Amino acid sequence: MNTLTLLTLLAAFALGAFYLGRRRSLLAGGGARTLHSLPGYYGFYVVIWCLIPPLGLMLGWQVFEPRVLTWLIIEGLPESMSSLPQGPLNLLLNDIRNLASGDLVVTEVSEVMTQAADRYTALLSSSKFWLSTMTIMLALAGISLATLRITPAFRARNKVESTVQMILIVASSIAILTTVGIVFSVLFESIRFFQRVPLDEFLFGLQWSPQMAIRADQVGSSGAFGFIPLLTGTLLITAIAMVVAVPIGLMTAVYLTEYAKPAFRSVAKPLLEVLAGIPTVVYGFFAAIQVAPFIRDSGGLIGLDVASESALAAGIVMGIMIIPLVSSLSDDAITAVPAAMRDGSLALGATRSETVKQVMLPAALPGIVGGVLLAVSRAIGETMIVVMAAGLAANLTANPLEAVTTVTVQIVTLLVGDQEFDSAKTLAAFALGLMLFLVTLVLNVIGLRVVRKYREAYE
Amino acid sequence: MYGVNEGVAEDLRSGRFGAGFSGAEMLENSAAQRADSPDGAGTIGNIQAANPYMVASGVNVHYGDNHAIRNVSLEIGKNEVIALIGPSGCGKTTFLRCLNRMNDTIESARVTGEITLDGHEIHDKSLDVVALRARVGMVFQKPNPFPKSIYDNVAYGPRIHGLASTRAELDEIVHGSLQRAGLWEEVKNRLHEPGTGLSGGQQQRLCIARTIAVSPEVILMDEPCSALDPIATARIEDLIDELRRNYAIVIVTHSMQQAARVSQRTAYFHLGDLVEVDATNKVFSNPGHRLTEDYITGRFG
Ligand SMILES: Nc1ncnc2c1ncn2[C@@H]1O[C@H](COP(=O)(O)OP(=O)(O)OP(=O)(O)O)[C@@H](O)[C@H]1O
Ligand SMILES: [Mg+2]
Repeated sequence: MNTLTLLTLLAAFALGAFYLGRRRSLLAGGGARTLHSLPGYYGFYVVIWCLIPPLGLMLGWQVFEPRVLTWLIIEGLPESMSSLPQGPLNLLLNDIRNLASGDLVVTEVSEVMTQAADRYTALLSSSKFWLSTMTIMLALAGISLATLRITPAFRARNKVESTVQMILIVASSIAILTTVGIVFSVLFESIRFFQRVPLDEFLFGLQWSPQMAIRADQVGSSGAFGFIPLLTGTLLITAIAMVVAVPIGLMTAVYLTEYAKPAFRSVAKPLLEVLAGIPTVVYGFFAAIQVAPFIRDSGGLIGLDVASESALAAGIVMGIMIIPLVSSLSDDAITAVPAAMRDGSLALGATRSETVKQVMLPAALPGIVGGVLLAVSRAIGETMIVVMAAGLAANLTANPLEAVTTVTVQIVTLLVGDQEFDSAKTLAAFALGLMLFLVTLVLNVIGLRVVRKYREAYE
Repeated sequence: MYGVNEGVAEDLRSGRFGAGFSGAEMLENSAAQRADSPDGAGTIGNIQAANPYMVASGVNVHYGDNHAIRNVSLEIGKNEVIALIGPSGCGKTTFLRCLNRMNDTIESARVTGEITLDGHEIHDKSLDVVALRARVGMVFQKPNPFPKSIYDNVAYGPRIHGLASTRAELDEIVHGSLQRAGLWEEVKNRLHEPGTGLSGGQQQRLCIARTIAVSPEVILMDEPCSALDPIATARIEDLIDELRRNYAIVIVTHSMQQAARVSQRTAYFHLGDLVEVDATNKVFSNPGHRLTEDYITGRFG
């Protein structure tokens, strides 16, 4: 029986289990009144017993089946083969599996291998059989045991609720565990990188050119992994983006919350949100095709030498992209200031703009700062626009008219194309990823703290 | 206090007030009909003040479709305190907010009728709303200190109006205002801590200090003592009495005793109507209207 059929069957069982549990509870006492919980809870209680053990079994089977099968096959191989080193053994096992499923086989097929493949097929089908049988038996056992436990005094609601709570905990830990997993994998790969390139060279090096020599006699490609030019490039572009986004976003928010008529507001807010929904790759070619040439040409007019890919172009477009983020977070922060503050100020004879400047903005400031920090981490992590508009040259410069490159862009270029998975060049991407992660993490933590502090202010 | 409106509405519908009672019939009439009647015709007693400073005539306020104030005419006199009383939701706050045009800030509110301040129409183009609010100060029903320091809260008004040219003058205004609001002793050592960190009653006195710091000509107080203990209440009442020497004061209160103690005139609102206005001792000793009498003797609900 294949997995899909099995799952469908389980679903049918669950449906039956619900009605069984419900009916049983109604019949067990003298009607719904004498029951501890509502009849539906007894139904769910039986469903839980019908579903969770079999699903657990299936999951465990999924995890352990391949290992057990492999082990059994290796045991069955003649001594000469089973004592092979790891690499060739894996190849052999792959061939056996392919043979069993009728796929192409790389090596010559020997007698032993055909036998092994036959054994593999047999094992596989008996494994399927046992899985189906045991799953169904577990489900039925669960249903009957759970149904038998139902009495009017049985606390089905408490059991169901604690199970639901467990499920919630599992769900939330999935997200957390994934994050932790990603962090650790990045961390371990970075450690491998730092075994090849010293940490201080990476953190303080002023030169970034990750080309490694392919042949020993090649000249000029020893590879330099100095992180500083990437960091300054990232910070330069982020700073330009903030210079564009913060004033415009903030003024937009002030206009929308304090001055705009509700009708205008109801049109303008969704429009701004559309701006936030444009894919960054679209902004990227807008930057590369419209903004960068425009900046180069207008720079040329006043005698400035502007690179055709410049930090300025990327930064400006990134700023435009971030405006909606800044404006909607500031908007929320200003709207969250109680109307009584505004009234209090106006009633003292303050004008609208005095009220905004001296009461509303200071009161909303923590929220606005939090929003800006989130925008900064968004800008630091942004890739597409920079790839397309800022170039790849790792220049160590503070001149916004030159081409620079950022951490994210370098990660992309390091990993594009065919790579060896343990060269310093590839591993460098993980080290950069780790740096990026640390920087944005710190910013997010600060942002969240500020926002939290601000929440306390009015409760 | 709940059930007041229902009780009265019930009485009105069943005509339990008796035939000789014109007020009840008047209240039963539709708003449209009433709008035709001359200013203040529905109000009994005397809407005139001895020394009128603000004059409202035929004021109507609509919040969308809700007719919250119906054709109210009332004079507010200099050197006197007028108390606005009435059951919850009858429009006291709404009327108060008309007087310094705070209803402008409510999108759905529509105010019609005439209101003059010292003879000038307050809705007139020539009178700036900002200047109006500096002259007609307001203390809100709920304390709303700014999230600034205590000092800055009080200094806010004087600063925006440029009332002090030196730091010492500003200090003097802040000190004087806090003193008069009865808060100075409690906060003199923590002037630079946030005003939002004060207790509810202290916050309310801070708001009063903030209002008097700009020396308005008329002070509107919306239940200024509802969060205060008897001692602080007594201070505020003394303050009101003192302020009366120079200013015109309107106070909304739910306490009959307070109205009787601090005011010279009392106006009774009911479901958006100004039912009765008269000298305070007249209203409390010999109310002209059955509704007023029921309210002040606590016979509702
Ligand atoms: N901002 C507003 N928008 C819409 N309707 C309002 C608004 N403010 C007040 N109202 C309505 O106007 C009527 C009068 O309200 P108002 O606040 O003036 O009552 P009040 O006499 O001050 O009551 P309380 O003693 O409870 O403070 C009520 O029916 C109220 O629902
Ligand atoms: Mg009120």
